[in-house]
Amino acid sequence: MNDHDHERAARRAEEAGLRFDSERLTLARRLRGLRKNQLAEAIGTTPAAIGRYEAGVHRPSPVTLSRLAMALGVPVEFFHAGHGTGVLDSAHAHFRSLRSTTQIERDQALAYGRIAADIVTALESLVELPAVDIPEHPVHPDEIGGPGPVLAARAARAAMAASPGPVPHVVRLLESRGVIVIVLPPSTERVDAFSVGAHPRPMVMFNPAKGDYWRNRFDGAHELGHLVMHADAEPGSKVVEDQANRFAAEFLMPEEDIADALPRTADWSRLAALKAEWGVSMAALLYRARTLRVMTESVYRNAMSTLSANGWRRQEPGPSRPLESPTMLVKAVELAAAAGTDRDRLATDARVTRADLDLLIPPRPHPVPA
Amino acid sequence: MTEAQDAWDTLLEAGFLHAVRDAHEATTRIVLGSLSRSAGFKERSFGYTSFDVLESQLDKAFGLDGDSGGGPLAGRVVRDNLNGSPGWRLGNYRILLKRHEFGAVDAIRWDKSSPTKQAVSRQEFAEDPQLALDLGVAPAPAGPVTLVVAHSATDAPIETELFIGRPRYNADAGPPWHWRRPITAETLGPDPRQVTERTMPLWSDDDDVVPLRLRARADGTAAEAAR
Repeated sequence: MNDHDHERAARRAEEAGLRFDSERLTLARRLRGLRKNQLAEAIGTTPAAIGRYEAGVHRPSPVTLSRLAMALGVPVEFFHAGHGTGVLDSAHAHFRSLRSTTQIERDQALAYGRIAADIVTALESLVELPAVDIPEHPVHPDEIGGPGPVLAARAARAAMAASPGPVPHVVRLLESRGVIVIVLPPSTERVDAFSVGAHPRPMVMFNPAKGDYWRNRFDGAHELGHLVMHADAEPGSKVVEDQANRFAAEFLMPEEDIADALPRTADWSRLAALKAEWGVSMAALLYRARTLRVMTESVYRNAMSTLSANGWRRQEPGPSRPLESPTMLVKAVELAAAAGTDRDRLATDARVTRADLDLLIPPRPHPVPA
Repeated sequence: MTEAQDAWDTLLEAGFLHAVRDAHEATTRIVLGSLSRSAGFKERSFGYTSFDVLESQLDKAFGLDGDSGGGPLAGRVVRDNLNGSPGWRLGNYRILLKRHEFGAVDAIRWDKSSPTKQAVSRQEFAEDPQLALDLGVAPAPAGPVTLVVAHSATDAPIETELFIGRPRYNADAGPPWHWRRPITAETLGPDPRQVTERTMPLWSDDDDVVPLRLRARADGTAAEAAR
């Protein structure tokens, strides 16, 4: 760096200091999956000092701000005020099995959701995305084994799925209804798929490390269930999760289409055939047979034990298929580029790093003409 | 009127059955929220835990736990254990608990249960045809009739089962119930329990307050500013 570069960097840091927004610092820290003490160590200060910066009690000096930017891998402009509507709050996100992930991991996943929302906001000024059109069918979060989720799934199918039988492409169905679907980066691998009923658009985030084609489809329908039923429910309870599973089962395997085809016993070849036809895992089919009382609890339990014992809970036997992938945003980015706003410009407009933009919306090697 | 109908009506009108249903649902939520198979808990853990939590939740529902403030059933239901097996008494009916395997309420074998449950399932049942032989003996005055609430729940999917009935000793491999009825939203109907309004706590401010005063301003107008 020559003197001129130093001077420019100092000027940028100074300006960033003047326009510093404490929430952007929290967002950047969460994005990188760091605790306050880890960030403090990286820049040679105390966790309490980081806490004061994030609370807006103290404003970091230009030098500190440059160090923070360096440690977090963002430009100092990332901390500028006047952007977005705060940090996504985990109280509104439907995370599963809260105990198996840490708050840091959930915060990181949510931070990615937050910058995805910023990218979408920037994109929407250039490209018209489909209107949000998700039916609402609230179900009381305490309802155990009641009819609510099934009725909600039937209402959603009537509103969204054109014909009876298998749903051809769950992700495409979500996107066509204006839902933002994002595949999380590998650093968040312990977090299951989750959803946020954020405004202006609901978001569903998938974890590629967590699933295969069949499981991802069920996850997608499960998250749709939260969006349809649980705008108001406190996320994370076992009962609310169970309701979303029941919704997904009815949405992907409607009782009237599949009840007669399900086996009463763990007939694996029959299950494999149904799996290919309906695009759902054998585990999901067993769950369906059990919830429709085609299968008794003890037959179902034994079948699930067999799945576990063979390692089929992680990966079922049979051919694999590529995951359903989201394409709406990829295409929107290509359209924006064709209209003169390339990825660098878009990242600047959304105030995210180009690397993070490419992580969340990977460029296609050969853009398909619109 | 049959015993089944009388027991059902008595317990339903008092709100006892609604209380049992609520306690069971609360228990299911608590147990499933606390234990998970992925953490290594097995069926036995769910069974034992449900047994303990349901006992506590029933005491709570009947206002017997000392800190739930009673409620509509307080004073009408009392604890009435049998040989250490938790029981509750309303009028002439004593109710004990039995956890069964989901979907297998009719596969209970009382002859293989605890001595207490064996004894209960051997109670004379007035409507038992075998007792209808006229031997010229006047029936003995009846003590309490002991019934059993059979409860079950699964975790994935989350489902619950709840029955009340009169157990039948079935060493003969016959049916385990003289009679039983499911306790569900449909069979229960509207909840007869009066919901009591909670009183708001009253604040008092006669304790010492934290001393505060206005800062002296540079021009010494603190007193004016405070008015």
